[in-house]
Amino acid sequence: MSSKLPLEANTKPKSRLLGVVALVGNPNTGKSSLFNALCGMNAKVGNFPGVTVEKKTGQWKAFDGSHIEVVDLPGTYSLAARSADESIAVEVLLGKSTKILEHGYQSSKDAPGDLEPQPDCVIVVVDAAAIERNLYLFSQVRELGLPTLLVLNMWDRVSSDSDLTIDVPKLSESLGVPVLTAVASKRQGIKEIQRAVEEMLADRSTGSKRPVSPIQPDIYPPLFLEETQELQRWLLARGHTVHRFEVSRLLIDAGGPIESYWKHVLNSGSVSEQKDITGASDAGNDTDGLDSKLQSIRARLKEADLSVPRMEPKLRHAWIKSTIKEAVRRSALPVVTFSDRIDRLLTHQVWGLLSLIAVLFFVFQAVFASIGTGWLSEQIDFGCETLALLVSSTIPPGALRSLLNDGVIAGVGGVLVFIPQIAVLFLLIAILEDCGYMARVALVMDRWMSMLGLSGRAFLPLMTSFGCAVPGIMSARTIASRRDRMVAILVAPLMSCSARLPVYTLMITTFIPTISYFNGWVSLQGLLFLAMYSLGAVVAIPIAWLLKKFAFPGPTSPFVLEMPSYKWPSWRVVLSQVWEQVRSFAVRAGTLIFCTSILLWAAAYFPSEHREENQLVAKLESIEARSGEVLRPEIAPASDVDIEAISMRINQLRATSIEQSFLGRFGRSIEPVFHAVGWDWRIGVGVIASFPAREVIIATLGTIYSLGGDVDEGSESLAEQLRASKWPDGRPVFTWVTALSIMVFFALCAQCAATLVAIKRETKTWFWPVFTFVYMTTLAYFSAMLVYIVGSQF
Amino acid sequence: MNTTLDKLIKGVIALVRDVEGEDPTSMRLMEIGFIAGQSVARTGQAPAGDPIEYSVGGSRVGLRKSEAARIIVHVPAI
Ligand SMILES: Nc1nc2c(ncn2[C@@H]2O[C@H](COP(=O)(O)OP(=O)(O)O)[C@@H](O)[C@H]2O)c(=O)[nH]1
Ligand SMILES: [Mg+2]
Repeated sequence: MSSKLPLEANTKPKSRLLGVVALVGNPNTGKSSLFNALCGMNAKVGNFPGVTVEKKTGQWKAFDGSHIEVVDLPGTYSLAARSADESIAVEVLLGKSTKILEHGYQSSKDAPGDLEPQPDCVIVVVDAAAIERNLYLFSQVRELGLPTLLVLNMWDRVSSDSDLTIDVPKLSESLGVPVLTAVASKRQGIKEIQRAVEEMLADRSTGSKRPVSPIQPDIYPPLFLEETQELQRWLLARGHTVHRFEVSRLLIDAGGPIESYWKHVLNSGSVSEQKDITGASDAGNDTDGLDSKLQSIRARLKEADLSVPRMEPKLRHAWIKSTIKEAVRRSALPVVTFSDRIDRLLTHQVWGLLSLIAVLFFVFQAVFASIGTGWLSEQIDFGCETLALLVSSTIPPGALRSLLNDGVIAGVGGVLVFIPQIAVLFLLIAILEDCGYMARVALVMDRWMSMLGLSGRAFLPLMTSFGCAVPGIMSARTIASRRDRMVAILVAPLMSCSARLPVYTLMITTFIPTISYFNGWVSLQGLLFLAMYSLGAVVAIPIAWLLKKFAFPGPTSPFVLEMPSYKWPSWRVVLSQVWEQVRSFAVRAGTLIFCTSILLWAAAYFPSEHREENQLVAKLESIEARSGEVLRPEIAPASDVDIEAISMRINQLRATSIEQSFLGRFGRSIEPVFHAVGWDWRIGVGVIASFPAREVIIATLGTIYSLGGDVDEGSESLAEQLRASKWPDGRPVFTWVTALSIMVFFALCAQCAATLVAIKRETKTWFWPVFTFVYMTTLAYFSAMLVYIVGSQF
Repeated sequence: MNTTLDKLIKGVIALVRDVEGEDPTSMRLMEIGFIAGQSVARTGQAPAGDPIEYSVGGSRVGLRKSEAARIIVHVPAI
């Protein structure tokens, strides 16, 4: 079967599609790097397994103006997929995917997507330095019978390694496919790969047929081949033409995804591909039929000493060994590499743990030190002030000016100021990921994770969640055990993500005194910052334990994790990641936060009367303008008094108008709920408005205080306005206790629609996002209450 | 002398003999490179002494002791 779907008819790009090529390979072999190099794109690259969990498509232009679609796939060691991310690769290669390409194909709802074509060509990307192991996957892929290209990536590691020599032409000859070398991270060898793929695709389209019997007789003994033929015939009799390779997987992977797929298909009696073939009427018993068929075949194989699944690795390794013995030479002894020496330190009994703590502490310290000192944040601040002044000087007092200044600039501008910190945080995370340390963190943490009933692998999604919970939740796909995966997904939103950073920063720098200890090495602010950052992770420990114990009980899952070698982080990779994150933060500020700010502004501005206020503002401005121009000292005292009286009146008016606005009425009607945690209605409303995305709180506080606050808003920072706000009885609203209770609430609350949607997507039910929302919000509210009650005692 | 991989001490190079079991974990161990005839050595460990990092076939793999115990290795007599 081939991809003779009406491709050209409904694809969006104007040029002709020459073909689809899939990138497969073991985790961490540089597939995404190669993908980026081939398509000039920006897929996420990282030096630990499980960075790519979704397929991603891109394209390049061929010599004749047509284009080639490339699909980057999550890494897998074998086509016997055992985790959610691995099965994506298998689905795509077997053509079972529902959306292999973004555009065009219709997909059927009832059958799990039989309509998708297989890719036209496969690039197997291998880490040349571990070629023997990597060829395992290659040996499976070539049985698909698709045109295949082998790319020996990380060729730089081989050419610098005297213990390994690979004879490329000889290898190509013995494997029977073209072999190319590449250094994807340095974009070397890319042109050659493109040419080779174009040639392979051109050959295909000029009519030379694909090999039809792809199961290679050189690997499997005759008995196995006969049995697969038998099973294939059995399926054909039930109306299903099944690829030989798929039949072999069905046979070998007992209880695997292919087996459950076919059970599903036979059970529902849906003959999705071959509707024209009849004979599937007795579909009701086919599931049992398949079961007994498989069992009898497997029993026969076992008798012949070919018991599945163990026979597969043995046969494949034997094949690899004999096939490459001419081309690949490796010194028999494992060598101690530079990477191993670093590992001795970083996984050392004492130093290992200390370095982990030191690294984490350094990250916090750096992020904290970047607060408010950034050149960029000063520029953004300055830009906002200038804009506000410009608006004030060109637009008369009224709704439009208020919308721009109090709604948009105070709202969105307030959030953008935090860009430098977000950048520093993601810079450090990207460096840690790309140098290879992340996998060691999983190794070091495994012991503690296993006390919770999880494996160290589950630590990686949680680490990622310190940047953002959405990729963290997605990367949980690399966890093979469903139970562990669920626990990791459900506690990931507790990790202190980058969107909490603005909240902590605002509260800490505004309300926590700058006291330092140990000659200025440790500051109270810094300590509190660290405490807030750790809070979620600490709370996650009992939660994970409870979830694992009661909701997802089961044995501790195994820990098998490949450790990538250490290397210098590549600036291209690191900077592109930082850029990606900063960009999405800014986009969020420009879309979601922008809209919330406007809505909130409207709710806080209407339906109150603003006429007197506007008149007074206009009057005040004309007085100020005159005294500024004329600069006559003798009239200054008089206008000073005037100014003060008018300003006071304006402030009064503003305070009442926001209290009588929709927002004010609503906020005050539910104020008792907030009293319990020490907040006034303004904070409460701000918190409620920030449930879609927690950094909205900065914008909403900015808008609320700008609308209801002091006259000369241009000069007053949000921090000063917060300090100045008072309860009706004159006590300040914000004390360090309030600040602490707000931070604790934000640390623990599930205020992020994107995260909840991601949980829905990954767990495929709305139950778990609702569960997460409820447990986190409850936890946050009562913890904030506890903080307030305890804090008020001092 | 045959033993299991978790008992292998540092500085000794052993040869993989077999991987016990046929559950997904054992299969994964074989796919990741623990195949009869490969040489293995212990290269590092977590601070708690478990999991352990091994060098096999040009790559480094972290395994818990319970996983390493499935792997039977031959340690050449010294
Ligand atoms: N030395 C070297 N490193 C590479 C090469 N290609 C990619 N890398 C690095 O290998 C790591 C994994 O790359 P990635 O593209 O994420 O691999 P994937 O998991 O297969 O998608 C990253 O740190 C890359 O920078 C290469 O040719 N040589
Ligand atoms: Mg990748």
